Amino acid sequence: MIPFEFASPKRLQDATSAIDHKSSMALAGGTTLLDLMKLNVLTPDTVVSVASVLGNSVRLEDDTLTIEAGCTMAQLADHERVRESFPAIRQSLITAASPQIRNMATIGGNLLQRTRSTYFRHPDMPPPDESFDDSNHEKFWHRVDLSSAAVLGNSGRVVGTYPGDFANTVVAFDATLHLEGPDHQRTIHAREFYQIPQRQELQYSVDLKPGELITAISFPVTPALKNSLYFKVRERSSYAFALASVAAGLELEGQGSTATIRQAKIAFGGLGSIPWFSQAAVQALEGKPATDDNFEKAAEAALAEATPPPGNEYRVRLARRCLVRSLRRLRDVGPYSDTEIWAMQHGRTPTPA
Amino acid sequence: MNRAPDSDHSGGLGRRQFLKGVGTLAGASCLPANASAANETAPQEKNVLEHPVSLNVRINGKEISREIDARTTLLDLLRETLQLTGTKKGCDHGACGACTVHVNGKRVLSCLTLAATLEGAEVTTIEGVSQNEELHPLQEAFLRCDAYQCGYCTPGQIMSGIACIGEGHADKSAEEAREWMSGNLCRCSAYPNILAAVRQTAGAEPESDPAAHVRTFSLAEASSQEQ
Amino acid sequence: MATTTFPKLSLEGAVGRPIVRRSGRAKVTGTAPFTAERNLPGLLHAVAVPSTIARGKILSIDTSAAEKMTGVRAVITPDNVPDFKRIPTFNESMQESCLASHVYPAAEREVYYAGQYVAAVVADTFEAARDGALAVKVEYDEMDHVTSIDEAPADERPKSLFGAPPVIEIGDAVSAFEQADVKVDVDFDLAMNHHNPIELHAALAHWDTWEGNESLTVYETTQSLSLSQKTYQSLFNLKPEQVRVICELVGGAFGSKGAMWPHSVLACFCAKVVAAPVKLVATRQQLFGGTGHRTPIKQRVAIGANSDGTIKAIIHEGTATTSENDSYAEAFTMATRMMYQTEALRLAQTQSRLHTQSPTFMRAPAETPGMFALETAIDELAVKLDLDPIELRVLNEPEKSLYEEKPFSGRHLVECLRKGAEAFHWKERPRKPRSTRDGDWLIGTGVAAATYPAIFFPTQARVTLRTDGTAHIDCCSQELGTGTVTTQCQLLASQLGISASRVSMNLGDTSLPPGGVSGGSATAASVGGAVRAAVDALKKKLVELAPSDSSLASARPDDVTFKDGKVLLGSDSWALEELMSGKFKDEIAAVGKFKGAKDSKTSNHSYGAQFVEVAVDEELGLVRVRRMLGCFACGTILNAKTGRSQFLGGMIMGVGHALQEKTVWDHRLGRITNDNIAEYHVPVNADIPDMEIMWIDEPDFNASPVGAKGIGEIGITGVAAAISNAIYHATGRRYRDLPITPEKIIL
Repeated sequence: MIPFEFASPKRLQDATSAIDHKSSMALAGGTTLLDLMKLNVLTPDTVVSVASVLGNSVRLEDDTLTIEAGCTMAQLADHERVRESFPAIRQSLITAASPQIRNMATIGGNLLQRTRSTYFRHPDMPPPDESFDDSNHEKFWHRVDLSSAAVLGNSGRVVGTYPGDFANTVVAFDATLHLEGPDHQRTIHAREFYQIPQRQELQYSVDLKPGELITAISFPVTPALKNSLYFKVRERSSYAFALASVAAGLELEGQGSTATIRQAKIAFGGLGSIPWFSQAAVQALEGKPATDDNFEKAAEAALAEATPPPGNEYRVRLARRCLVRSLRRLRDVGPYSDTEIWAMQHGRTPTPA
Repeated sequence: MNRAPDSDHSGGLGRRQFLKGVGTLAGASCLPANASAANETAPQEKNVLEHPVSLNVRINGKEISREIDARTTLLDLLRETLQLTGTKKGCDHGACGACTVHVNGKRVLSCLTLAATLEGAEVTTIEGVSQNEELHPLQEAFLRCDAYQCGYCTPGQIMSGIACIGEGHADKSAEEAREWMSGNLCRCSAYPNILAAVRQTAGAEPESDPAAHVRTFSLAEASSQEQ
Repeated sequence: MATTTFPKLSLEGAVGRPIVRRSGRAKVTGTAPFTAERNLPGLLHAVAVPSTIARGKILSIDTSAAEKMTGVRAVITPDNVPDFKRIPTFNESMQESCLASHVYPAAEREVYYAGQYVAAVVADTFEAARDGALAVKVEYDEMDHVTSIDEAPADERPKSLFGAPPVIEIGDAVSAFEQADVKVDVDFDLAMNHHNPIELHAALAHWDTWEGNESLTVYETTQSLSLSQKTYQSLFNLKPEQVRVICELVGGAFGSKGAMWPHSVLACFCAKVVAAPVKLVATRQQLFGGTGHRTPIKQRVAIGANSDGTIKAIIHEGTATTSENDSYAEAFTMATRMMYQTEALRLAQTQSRLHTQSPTFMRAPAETPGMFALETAIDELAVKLDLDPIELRVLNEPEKSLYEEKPFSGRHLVECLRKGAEAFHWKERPRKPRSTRDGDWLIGTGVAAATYPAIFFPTQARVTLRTDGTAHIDCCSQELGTGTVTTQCQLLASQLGISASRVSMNLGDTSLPPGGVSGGSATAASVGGAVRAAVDALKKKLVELAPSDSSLASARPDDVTFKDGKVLLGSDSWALEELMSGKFKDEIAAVGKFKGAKDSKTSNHSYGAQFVEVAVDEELGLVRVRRMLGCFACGTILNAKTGRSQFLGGMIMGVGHALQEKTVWDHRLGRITNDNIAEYHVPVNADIPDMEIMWIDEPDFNASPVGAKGIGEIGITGVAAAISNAIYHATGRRYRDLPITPEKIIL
């Protein structure tokens, strides 16, 4: 951490005009910024506390769920309507991080969570710059750490995986971000907000201009959001980043495998350099019967463009299976309850209430 | 086997004994070897605050007002400045939970909390949990259940456990309680005992010492069983 | 055995009771004193600068930016490091030094491993030191390095494996194996592990003067106070009275605080340079390199048996790693010396040298990796023979230790297996793998044996009896959370016939009688032996004090006993006050010294049986532990509460070892990449199922002066094998590489 000025503006406008996201950074929950400042990864001269100038309300109006950016992960997960009606939102929050971190991290900050890539977190460790395609390099790839390297959106080289959970639900379910600068406001579709890394970049970038802050996020409330889930596979039962995860929602017409899929919402976590919305999977599902076969095809299509780092091919298989399981479950039973999620983490079969 | 705890101090060590066992040594060892005045070598204080920020915060009910270095985390403020060392540093990066405290009634990680953001906040640490000699029921349950070994993660576990109970996650399934206590690593791995302590305090299980139910055998008993 | 190595001792009363541990109240109220919490007037903070390369020369260290920072007092580099003497390490002189490595902090012009402390910054505040350390710029001339066991030649034999040769041959195991009816010949690959206690390693050093001489006080996180004192004496050419080392409580160690790592020496250097007390706390990242690790190991186990299951040959060989400059050797074949009856045995170890910090002891250093390989291979043999794995073990139960050629002091492995099996409902287990399903999960159960040797470290203790009926123990041992204070008070209470609440103990300070390393599960027996010797010495003193006309005056001290603060001889009793009246004192003390038994006539080990049920989701690569049971025979269990906790803790660390723990490297850079406990996974609460602990309560006075063999380590042994055997039972597939992570399981 380099010494920095601390500013605690009273008005949003004062905050935004003070922030350029480079030498002057916004501090909300602190769970990303302080971690990375201590590692000398982020070195702002000025830290601008924005928690008190961001709203934290959660509102459901006219089939739109609007969450102000200062709302914490815990607060959103525990919101009555979210608990009752929007399982993918709740589950992508409560399977992330730890209860303490969820009490701190804001929704706005969470959307900007940085990659866990070891080469990003250690500025003094040069990342491997080679392309995965170079088949002569089998031995080379065995010698580097690819555990946090993205499988999708990597241009065939080492870039960091987007490590968060909630943002996968955000891109799956067509959410829009509300941004505010000192003298303007704009909205942007979450899928356009995240941009896959360019050459020489270790992680994604975002369409956030100097002076702009995320002030809110809004989800259109659709039937698919109500019949949704977030399925996360991790190495240990809790407090771990995803090896692969799926945010999925299905709107079905009819029952069981004879039902027709009216609308599908699919995104993957733990795989892409950005929260990975899968247009291919959506296309493979919408308008089709909800058969196992179509689920498998959608999973194939979703991962067709994967370019896994050597030794990480299993994450592609894992992601496909996460998707097929999620879709079957949504078709046959519906969303998981919290209790079922805890049971699965303990190696037991969930018994729907 | 069912062994009763020593009848003369079923709630643990009496205070007098505790002072004997720990306090006297602690007192002695606060002094450097051979006790010449360390003050003589104490360096001159100089202005060490880089970008000072003024802070007013209530910690364990006590109003604290002072200038702090902008870089100071709540954890370092507690441990290094205020000598409230019950809150522990285990990783300094939000990965272990040892530094858990309550801010405005919610459990948070003090290592990732910049102290300067706490203007007007109410902080409770492990030091603020018990009232004088009266332990919090979860502290008592930790003693009863031996919910620690080395004790280093313990304050964080207790702060997390109190919150977990308050949030309503401790009195339903054991799986749920385990999940909501998973933000606190215990490398001695007292997890089953921590779970018991939290659930007993939440009223989900009757108060009992898990070790009282251990099955033990004499060699004769162990040898003379069905094959 | 009619007579035991150590005379039997009555353990009536306090011993065994599940009393609340002594430091409990302090621990739950946050007042327990850990090292980094010490505060001295004028205390400064130091933060180390670790090397970012694995091997090379230091060309320059630019301290100018750091020195300009507000609050920075000094930067310690090889240019201003104080004088010290290079001394033997722990590996070379276990009696004299606990220094971990020949590589000194801030003193070398070369780098031997990534994370080597090349400099340190001392400042008024922690923040200034931390940020100052980031501002120190080091220029290196990089040299080639090797950090992977796969890339280093295993062309060297370790000098000694805890005193045993690196190759042990009994009979001709190679040809006996070749001729056997049924053979298992399998290879195992174990990842590097780091201990990761939650308390960070710390040292607080203070140089002062004492009667005109220099004195050094160090508060530090250590399992080896008395050896630390000697080490500082040698390093800085000081007399014992010039060095005091203090550590009242250790916040978890698991072997990582046994040796003295560079941060301690660095704290002393810093304190000397700035002439003020200095606190240096290693960061979590710095523990990966700044302290040692469990070496990666490659093993082969080959077992040949008759078709009836009788083992004819066991071959256990492999290679571990050590560092370029040091000689730590992991004795992973050690337990195979005495686990099973065999006609022929071959144990052989090699080692390779890596550009890493020195490996070191990590909970059951020999047995954790070794028993994983042996006990998995035994399970594989049982499958080949179509025998129940418990029956195969019972069939090959040895009568005596093959290598030591001695009878066992008290083995009881068969009893542990049988009692454990009964409680675990092992009988209901289908023999065939892939027989049980629960939705998406395949369910399997596994068993493995556990073992750990009973060893001692020379220890002295002073016992004080007071006329008010209380007693006190002084011993420079350490409290790691193992319950040393509590259990030793119970042991003394039983010998004095009083309640444990009337006994207190001080440890953790070199001003007390010297103790041994709190490691190797040796503390209970070693301190217990010293306390027992002190009680014997007290008896002699009391006989001498007795009025000449009393029967006590002519008594054999061994016939003297105690009860309720009184001295007993047959039916006569004396209040301590009576005996002390002529001395005008209200207490009497004696020091006992314990060195262990010379030429023990028995093979001294603890044993146990581990049972595990797992659920495996092959599609997702997940393994979850659903049930665990451990049944142990470790002699007397001194406190049911703290004892149970130690077994639980060992077994849970075994879950981490089996399924999660792995230090990840970029071998290209020679650096550890998951140097944090978010990505170096250790078990969390949600990983741990319901567990049951059982034990056979049988004091072992051949292995221990107090009947207790020590339980800190046995709990982890065999767990990884029981888990991998259960995964085999669930899936029909063998997993011989640790940790068994999803990428290995997923189909």
